[in-house]
Amino acid sequence: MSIVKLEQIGFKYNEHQVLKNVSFEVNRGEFMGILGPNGSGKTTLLNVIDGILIPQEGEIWINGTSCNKLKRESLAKIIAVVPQESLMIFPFTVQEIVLMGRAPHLGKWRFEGETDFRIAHQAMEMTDTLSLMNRSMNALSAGERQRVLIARALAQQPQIMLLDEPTAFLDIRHQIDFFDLIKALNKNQTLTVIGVTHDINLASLYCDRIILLRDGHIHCMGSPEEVIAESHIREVYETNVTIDRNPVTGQPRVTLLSSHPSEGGSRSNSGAAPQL
Amino acid sequence: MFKYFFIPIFIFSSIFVFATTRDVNNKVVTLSRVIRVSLFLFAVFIIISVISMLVGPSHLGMIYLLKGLLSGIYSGDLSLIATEKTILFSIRLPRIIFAGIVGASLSAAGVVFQGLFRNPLADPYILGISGGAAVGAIIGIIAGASVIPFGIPGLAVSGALLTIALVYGIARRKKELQSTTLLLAGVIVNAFFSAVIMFLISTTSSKELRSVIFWIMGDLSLAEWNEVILTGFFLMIGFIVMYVYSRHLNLIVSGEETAMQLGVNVEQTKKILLLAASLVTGVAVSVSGTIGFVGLIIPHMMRMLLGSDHRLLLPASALFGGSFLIVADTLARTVTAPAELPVGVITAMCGAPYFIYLLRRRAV
Repeated sequence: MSIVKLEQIGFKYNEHQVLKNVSFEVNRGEFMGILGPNGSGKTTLLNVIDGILIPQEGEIWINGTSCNKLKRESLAKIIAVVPQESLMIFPFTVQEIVLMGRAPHLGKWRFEGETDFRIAHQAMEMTDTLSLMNRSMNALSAGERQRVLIARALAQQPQIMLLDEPTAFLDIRHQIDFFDLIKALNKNQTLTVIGVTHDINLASLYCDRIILLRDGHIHCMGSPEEVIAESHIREVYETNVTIDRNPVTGQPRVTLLSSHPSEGGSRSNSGAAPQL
Repeated sequence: MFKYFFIPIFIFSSIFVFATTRDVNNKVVTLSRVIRVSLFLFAVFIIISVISMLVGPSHLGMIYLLKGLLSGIYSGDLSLIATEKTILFSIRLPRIIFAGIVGASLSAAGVVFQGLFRNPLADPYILGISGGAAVGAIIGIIAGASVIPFGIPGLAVSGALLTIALVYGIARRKKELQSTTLLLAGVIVNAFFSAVIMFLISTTSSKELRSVIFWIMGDLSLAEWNEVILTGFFLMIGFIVMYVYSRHLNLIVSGEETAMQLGVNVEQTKKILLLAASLVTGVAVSVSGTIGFVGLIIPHMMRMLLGSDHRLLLPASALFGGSFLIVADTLARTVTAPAELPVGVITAMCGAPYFIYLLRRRAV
């Protein structure tokens, strides 16, 4: 049975239709990528799934239960979100942040108990943040902060993890580290992952399936091989690209092309003089 | 002069707080730690209250009064004459407890406002909330609402709530709450309320004019037992509500979206907390006037010492804020004795430079 199911979701922000007729299902243990240009509704789609935005049309089913019938707290026990960045205004320590992941399990009054400390500890172990435990969140590097946020999400003991462009501020090494970690959790803990990203190549490397959004509707959906095709990418992003294979993994690989050939590295031989 | 005893003692106790809690940033907040820190700060509060009781413009010696009080513990009867008892227990004690309650209210409200607005410079006074409460209370005084039970505090609380709605409405653009816009909104709302207050004062022929002016700057000299009980009662209610939601406030501080994703019903929590903080602020303002900056200095100091977890920050700020206002009020009634200063003058003199320091130190 699918763990997340969206049925003809439509969402309007003021009068602007952000999502229209979006339907798809995500299976348990799947790694689903969401791609699309700016303003295509990727983040809105994530916010609809985690219940922050309520769609005007359609229905969302989580584990077979309609999202409307779930309380915020019960939803937070199933779905955890790793946001893009999280700079703290007030100086919380890493351990405090990770323990916040226990919130949906605690209710209003209770202080964290031994179980909560143990789970937070495990989450920090898995994300290799145990040594940062007592440091202030704001004193960490972007890559470390991102790992802490994964730890917090893991402390929620979720079945589904949503990623909202989590690698936008990371360099390539940390991007790979981040997705390797998520992929490992996805495989070993059978965590379902739904991730929004701008990086088509990363999506191609890690995702089982990809949804390509365009103007709030699903342009196409399928395996990376099916979705990352020149025709789709050119049409949706309105950008010139060429697609070949990653020489190591064989996954589709996107190469960007400049629309000014003279600036694009491979000089054209057309002989046209540059117009000034 | 005995009154100057007071300042080094206060500094000493602040340093002591710092020393005993130095390593806490590594420690996670547990119930036992909350209780330990609260008990310690409560002891500081008691010590400061007792010392303040013995300090004052009357020519009674501090040592002499202390001896008198201590003899009472042994023999069950104070070896003090009636005037001395009156000064201590009917004039100074209610005022000290009152200062403690008002200081605790403003600090607790400051903690909550800073958390909800995610702005370390938020404070009931800076955001104009105290000003709004003052307008409500003055309208109440002029209209004679004091005949209705809770009439003036009720109007002050409504003023505080309306101001929050106003400031929040000005500062909120789309989903983001701009930090600088929030402070500017507070400044403008404050300027407007000052004008309204001046207008009300100059058009009324009330014979209580001088007391109104004094009251605007924050004045604790009118403290009587029934006012002490009233403010204490509302502080307790407000504080309990705030404390119930203090862990949720931690999550809201990390971002409203994050809080929702962690299972908090953010809109409801915000409303409840704003209501509780306004209640506490409004009641405190209605009886003591606009005492500024307490809600800024104290939460910030406590956060530096104890970390950002509101389950610890809230009780610690309330207790230390109470101690702070007792000290400020003791200064207010002794520095220019036999004349008295409004206590708001003292807190503003400490608070405004502190605000500038915070503003310079961190890009807000």
